[in-house]
Amino acid sequence: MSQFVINMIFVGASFAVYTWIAIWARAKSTREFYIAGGEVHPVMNGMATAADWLSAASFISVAGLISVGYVNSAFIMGWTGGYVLLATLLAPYLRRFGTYTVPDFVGKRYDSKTARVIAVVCLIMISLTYVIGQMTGAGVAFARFLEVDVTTGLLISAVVVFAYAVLGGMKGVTYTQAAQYVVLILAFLVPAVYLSLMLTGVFLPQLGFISSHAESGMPMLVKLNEVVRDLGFQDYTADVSNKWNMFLFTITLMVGTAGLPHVIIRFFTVPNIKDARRSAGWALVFIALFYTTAPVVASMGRLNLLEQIYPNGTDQASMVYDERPEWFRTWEETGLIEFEDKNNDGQIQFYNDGTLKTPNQDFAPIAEARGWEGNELSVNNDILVLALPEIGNMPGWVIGLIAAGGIAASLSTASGLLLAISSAVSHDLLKNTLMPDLSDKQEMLYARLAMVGAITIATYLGLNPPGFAAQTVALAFGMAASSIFPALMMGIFIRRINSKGAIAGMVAGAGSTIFYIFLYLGWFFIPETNTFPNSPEYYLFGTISPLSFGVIGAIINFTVAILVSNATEKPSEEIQEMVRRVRYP
Amino acid sequence: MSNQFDVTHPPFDLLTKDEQDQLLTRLDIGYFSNDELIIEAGQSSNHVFVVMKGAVAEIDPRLEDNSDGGVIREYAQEDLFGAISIINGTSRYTFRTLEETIAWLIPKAVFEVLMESNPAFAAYFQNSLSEKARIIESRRSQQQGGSDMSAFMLAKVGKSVLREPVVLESGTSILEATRTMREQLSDCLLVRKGSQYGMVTRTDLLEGVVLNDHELNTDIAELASYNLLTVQKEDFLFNALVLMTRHKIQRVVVFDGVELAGLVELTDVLSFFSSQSHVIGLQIERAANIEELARAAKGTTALVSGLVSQGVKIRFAMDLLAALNSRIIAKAFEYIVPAEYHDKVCLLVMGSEGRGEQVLKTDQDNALILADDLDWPDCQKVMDKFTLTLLDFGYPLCKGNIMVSNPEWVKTETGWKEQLGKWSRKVDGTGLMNLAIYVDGAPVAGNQALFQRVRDNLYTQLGSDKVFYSYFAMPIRNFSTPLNFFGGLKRSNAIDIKKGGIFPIVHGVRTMALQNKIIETNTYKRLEKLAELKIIKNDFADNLAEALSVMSNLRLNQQLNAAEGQADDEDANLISAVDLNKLDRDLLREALHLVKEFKAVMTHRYHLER
Repeated sequence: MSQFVINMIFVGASFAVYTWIAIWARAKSTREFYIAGGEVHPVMNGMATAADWLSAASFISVAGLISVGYVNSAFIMGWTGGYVLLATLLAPYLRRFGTYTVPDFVGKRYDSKTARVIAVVCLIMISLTYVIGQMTGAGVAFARFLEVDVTTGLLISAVVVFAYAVLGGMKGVTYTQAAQYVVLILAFLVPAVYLSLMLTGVFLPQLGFISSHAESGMPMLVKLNEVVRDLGFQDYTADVSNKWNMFLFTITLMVGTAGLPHVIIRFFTVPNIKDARRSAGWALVFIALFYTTAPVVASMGRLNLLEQIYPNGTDQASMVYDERPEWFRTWEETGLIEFEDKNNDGQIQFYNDGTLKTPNQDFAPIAEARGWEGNELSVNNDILVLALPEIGNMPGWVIGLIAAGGIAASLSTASGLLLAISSAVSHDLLKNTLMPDLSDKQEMLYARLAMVGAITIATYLGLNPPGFAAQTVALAFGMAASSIFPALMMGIFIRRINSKGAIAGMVAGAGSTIFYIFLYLGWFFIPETNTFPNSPEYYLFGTISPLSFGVIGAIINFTVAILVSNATEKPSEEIQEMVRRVRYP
Repeated sequence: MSNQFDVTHPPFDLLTKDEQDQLLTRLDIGYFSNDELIIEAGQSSNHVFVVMKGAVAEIDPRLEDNSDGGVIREYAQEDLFGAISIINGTSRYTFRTLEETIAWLIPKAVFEVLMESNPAFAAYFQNSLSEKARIIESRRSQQQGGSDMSAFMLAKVGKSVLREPVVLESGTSILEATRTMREQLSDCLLVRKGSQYGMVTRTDLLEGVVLNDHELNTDIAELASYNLLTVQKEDFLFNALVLMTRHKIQRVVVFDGVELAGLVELTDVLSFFSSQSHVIGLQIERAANIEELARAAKGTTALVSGLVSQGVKIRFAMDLLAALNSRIIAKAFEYIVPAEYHDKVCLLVMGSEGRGEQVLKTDQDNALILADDLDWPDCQKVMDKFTLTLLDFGYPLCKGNIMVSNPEWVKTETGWKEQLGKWSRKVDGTGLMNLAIYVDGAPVAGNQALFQRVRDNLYTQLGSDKVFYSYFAMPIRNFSTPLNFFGGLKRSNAIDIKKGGIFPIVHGVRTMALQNKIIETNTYKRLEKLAELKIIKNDFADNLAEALSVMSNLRLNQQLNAAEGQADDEDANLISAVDLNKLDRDLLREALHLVKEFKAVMTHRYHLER
């Protein structure tokens, strides 16, 4: 059976299972008129929340990012931390407001249409940029598993995401989402166990991570450091040069995640607070299971990749291009692996020739002496997880499993985001603000249109990225951290904040963040329009990178909001009472 | 398959005999092979088609690339198509056979002549569901010979027993008023005070003079009560009766718009009634003890099935039954509960009985609110007795044990406030179900103030918690609407009409009513109120009400057919689409389309897709 067929079977079967569960869950309830939303076991709920949480970025990209250097584990810390922040600080109170969405909350708490509209604008910008990431992720997965190029893959994913979001059905069924989590975690764990067994002989990947490399007897991480150093890369576990920036970046991610609208919706709409707390605990367990596996996959995957290219050690001859294995060929088709034989020796030299970040300068003369004329292989970070089973020569079903997992992750997150966008446009922006006379049917039509619009824009931007995807994602987190998160926090915890303060705060926070990002990454991400070069010596205080500015934006938001509120009238008694009730039931 | 064109099916039964003959002589038969084009989009049609055998698809040419090929609807035996394209001049859609098809052809010219000469026939093609159903309904009752009972039921206030009222200006003395009443042989009179009317009865005059020491020259305006119960002249007489039964009063004032039109007296209505076969209302009021009451109670089922089989609109039958039942239950309650407690407790009937929508005897769903300071050790014993008495009256026990014999459903005012708060915060299946049952509750006996305080407290507790309403509304999505992919009725012999159609409407309307603090419990009245408050559009509310009637009717017919209502409750909800006639199938399909639309609207409004 060809790999293509296996992939189709796995992807098809996983969808069949989700659909079957959705139908089964419905059939189960048909005897009773009122099913028990809150009577699903907390473990199930925890799994469902975890599936919601783990996006395509988590599944496909994080391990890839971490594989470049342990520095990027900031993503893991930030995202996990963000979850803890949300679950402990915000979640217990959000439900008590009785609103569905972030703009709904902002509109109600600050009793202001302007504030609501600003929240809508922020929400749309955040969600749109985030959708791009999900669709690109799904696009890569589709491209590989349907054996087409990335552009076609992206278009396919746009169609599938649209169908998925419009048909809805599968969303919101706890059991389906729990099943998605199971597929996701299996797809991530199975290759990790394989790798761990292969490289260290230890079954549990998390343990393998700190065990010895089977062949050399050295600790696994020491071996990896040695291999990457030998190829001119920075040590895998190298310390971070700019700790302040790393700290700010982590906090930005954390606060930003806690302000992501599609995630917050979950907490707005938990049935009741007690159940929510219990399932939040389980969700953390399931999320942690995933995130602790990521660094293992990253480091072992990288070691494995390098060992494949340099089968006899880094000081010996590398892989001959004409004898390249099957996986190399198939991934070349997607355009995510590219080889250019710069010195025409027919062999693949993969090393840091100084064009990648933080090169190991000692290696340059060695490379030159070996007749290497520059790095010949570029590998897209996103393929590390997807290509892992092939590189590791794992059986076909593992590859199929990964395909199913990657697609499940991106679809569930993308459809959540699209729902958030469409309800913000149709309900918060049009019905509640601009066109109060809309009929239900018109409102539903606009919701669909908004969804189509969002997918079209996301697809266009996915095909013609104005900058690197990572930069637009930075914008999403920066915006979420500097606009929505403070608005929520102050809405709950500071009774004195009024609409003027909130509006001024959001505008100042989000404005300064966008300004700072554009300053270094180009105005509206148009390349070459940046005012300053994107390097540390030009940063504010020489440390704050544009990606880390979100938390500064949040501080600006807090400060401005508090100052303006104190200088203007108090919020109405009614609203103060509402805030008081939310905190002290 | 009959070779004779069936003129007894709608809409052809709307034609006169002459018109039917005219139609039959001009009728053709056409044969179409598989996948043959019958009407092309954009073209006019030369015939109206009635399928004799085979199947035809209606296709939207703009959607032809869809997986379903753009098929909007399928037409099978006895279905009619092509009329709209003649009315509009061109067809919006393409009609194509799905298999070999034979059809009756009504020539365009004949059809147009019939449309011209018969307005009811024309209206059938041009109207929305609610009007269509109305035409058929009135047609149906005519067919049944307009029996006495339905004639009574459909009688309007203005055309039956309206009495000319005695109207005096304010400032008239008691003496003069008494004299006038005597001259006019009247028991009561109306006093005009500005633009307002008040009522003075003989009893008022007597008590005014004897008990309250009024002078004989006192202005009668001081004795009058201004809190009148009124009906409109165009209302059914029947509603006046319901009003009197419910409020235990003897007469209602009739208005024509804002103008006073007259009075209707209970004795007149009852004498009107007593010429009929069932006089239950009277029996109940006159029952002097439990045994007599029981006899009256046992007659209600027969009354309702009689009314419905005679073509009385189901809404009226439901209203009457609800009013009768609540009087029976209230009377039973007053007999059983010692009088000293009457003011300290409030009995609620809940569920379909609280909504006034039961058609046959439904389970006892009731609850009791006790005043906080009430000390009543025998409460449990008395409530057990009450439950058994109702059982004896023919009201089955509630399977879910939601009855006053269950201490869970007997609580103090404060206890209820806490309980409702708990249910609304926990948001689990049982809690939501109990809440749904409770909010349909209507007070039938005891001190209503207790009920009102608990209700107002619930409104305050729920406040504007949209997320709660979202969970509350969620069950309407639990069951799929029994329509197939093409929008046709599922060809099944067990369509669950309660789960697929009635429940979503009732529960959706209940959710909106609760959110908007509408105190009505009846679904039709809730719909009227929602339309009044502009929560939903007027015509949508009308159509939903009609859809609900259509489905309730089908269900009731089924219940009545199945061994005089002895069928199991569950089975009665299962409608066999295959056995329905064309008319009922059409109505049911249109009703279900409305249900589907309503569910989509609710899903969007209450964010049911998360």
